[in-house]
Amino acid sequence: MEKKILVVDDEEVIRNMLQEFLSKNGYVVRLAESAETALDILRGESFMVMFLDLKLPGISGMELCRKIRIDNDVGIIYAFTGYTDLFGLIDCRRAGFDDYFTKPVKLELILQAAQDAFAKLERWNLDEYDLT
Amino acid sequence: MKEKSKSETQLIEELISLRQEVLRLKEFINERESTEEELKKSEEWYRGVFENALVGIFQSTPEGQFIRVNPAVAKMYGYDSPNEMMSKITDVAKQHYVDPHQRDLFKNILDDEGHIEDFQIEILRTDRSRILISISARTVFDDNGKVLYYEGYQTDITEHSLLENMIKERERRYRHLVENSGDIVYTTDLQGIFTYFNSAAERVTGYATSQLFGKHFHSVIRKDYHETLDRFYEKQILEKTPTTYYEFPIVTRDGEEKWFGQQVQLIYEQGDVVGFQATARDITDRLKAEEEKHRREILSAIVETAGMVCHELNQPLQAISGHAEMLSLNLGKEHPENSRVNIMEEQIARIAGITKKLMKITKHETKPYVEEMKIIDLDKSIS
Repeated sequence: MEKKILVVDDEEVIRNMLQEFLSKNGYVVRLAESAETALDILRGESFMVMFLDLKLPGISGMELCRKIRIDNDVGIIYAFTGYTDLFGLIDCRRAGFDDYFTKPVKLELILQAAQDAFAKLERWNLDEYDLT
Repeated sequence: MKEKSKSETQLIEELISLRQEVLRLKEFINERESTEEELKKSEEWYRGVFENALVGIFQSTPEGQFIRVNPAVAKMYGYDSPNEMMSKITDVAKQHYVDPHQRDLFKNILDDEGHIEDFQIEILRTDRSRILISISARTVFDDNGKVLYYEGYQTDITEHSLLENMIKERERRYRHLVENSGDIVYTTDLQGIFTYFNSAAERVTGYATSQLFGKHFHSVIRKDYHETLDRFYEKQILEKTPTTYYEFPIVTRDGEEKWFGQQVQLIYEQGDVVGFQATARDITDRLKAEEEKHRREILSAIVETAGMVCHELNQPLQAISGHAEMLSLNLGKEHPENSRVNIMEEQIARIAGITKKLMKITKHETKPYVEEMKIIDLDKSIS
């Protein structure tokens, strides 16, 4: 399985940094600066691991996750947030996020999350399902 | 001749005397005619007054028969004319009094004292409607002191009585309202001595009426407010301000402090201010609620500001943190410059620690900063 990751963040410097870092670690990274762009990409391509910033211009990261979850029950979706509290966590879980990270988050931790996600997907034998 | 002459003189004198007598008689007749005329006029005047008077004028026997009544009395009882009334009534108490025993009381007073003033009786009119009349009368005795009849006047006071009852009822309601008001209602004289207070004053202050009456209003006010209040109400008198409002703390008998909002009006007598009337409401709970609301508003503003600071700081912090981490990886652990990266990472972690605390603010606690300035005590403000 190709290890593709979709990163959605409105800050270019962060997008590029994550792309550089994750690429170096063997992942194929696609970038989107907004939820709208992300949805466009997802219409043509399937991703099973995603990192979404919650604070996005236009459609929020929370809403984007809900929309993705309509068609994708299995994919592993992580949230990045600059500010959260207890209700933020509950909201994230309800929106369909698997986990969330409060910025600034160590790249090491992001890498760990990506690795865990793909390990999990492999263990689930996704080839047995029709996920297209 | 002389005798004849004397007789003529006499005759002349007699004639003169007779003429004078005739003149006197004529004068007398004229005077009498004039007096009779005056008497007639006077009688007509009195009759006019009697017949047209708006008050009822009557003469009645002790047995309750009317000897004379004017049209006003007849109308009062519902008869068409005085004659009809006099012919039909043989015992007024039995025929018209709502409570016939009232007649005994009426007679006893008149027989004993010779007169009666404003004796009020409810009577039934011929149409069975009830009216209240007021009678003032005197007793007319014969030479042997036997009662001949009573005479006097009576007026229909039904409306007056209704009005009076209405006023009394209104007064009763106002009194009830004031006495049972949850607010303290009181008056003081010009010196500030209590002259009246309702039951709420006792209930709220814990002092009994006997302990408050005649006391200065200072006795329930927190001491540090005495001077301020004195100045405030002196100003109200000087400027003749109709109504003022002021908030101040009182101390109850148990030593509990309560805040009151008080409206005060000046009491005037013949143009001079003679005292104050006040309505005071316990606003302790309201003030506490306002304080709480204010506290929440401050906290809300702090939390919102903290959220903004976290978001705005964490974004660039993420970029710095990530690049420092990549730099460290690129340099390798043994590289001499890596220690600088470690310092950068430590400082980034320090800032990240602050933003994480900001996210957890649930209280508004401050600490002194420089001089009078205070800043939020982050450690005490987080849950």
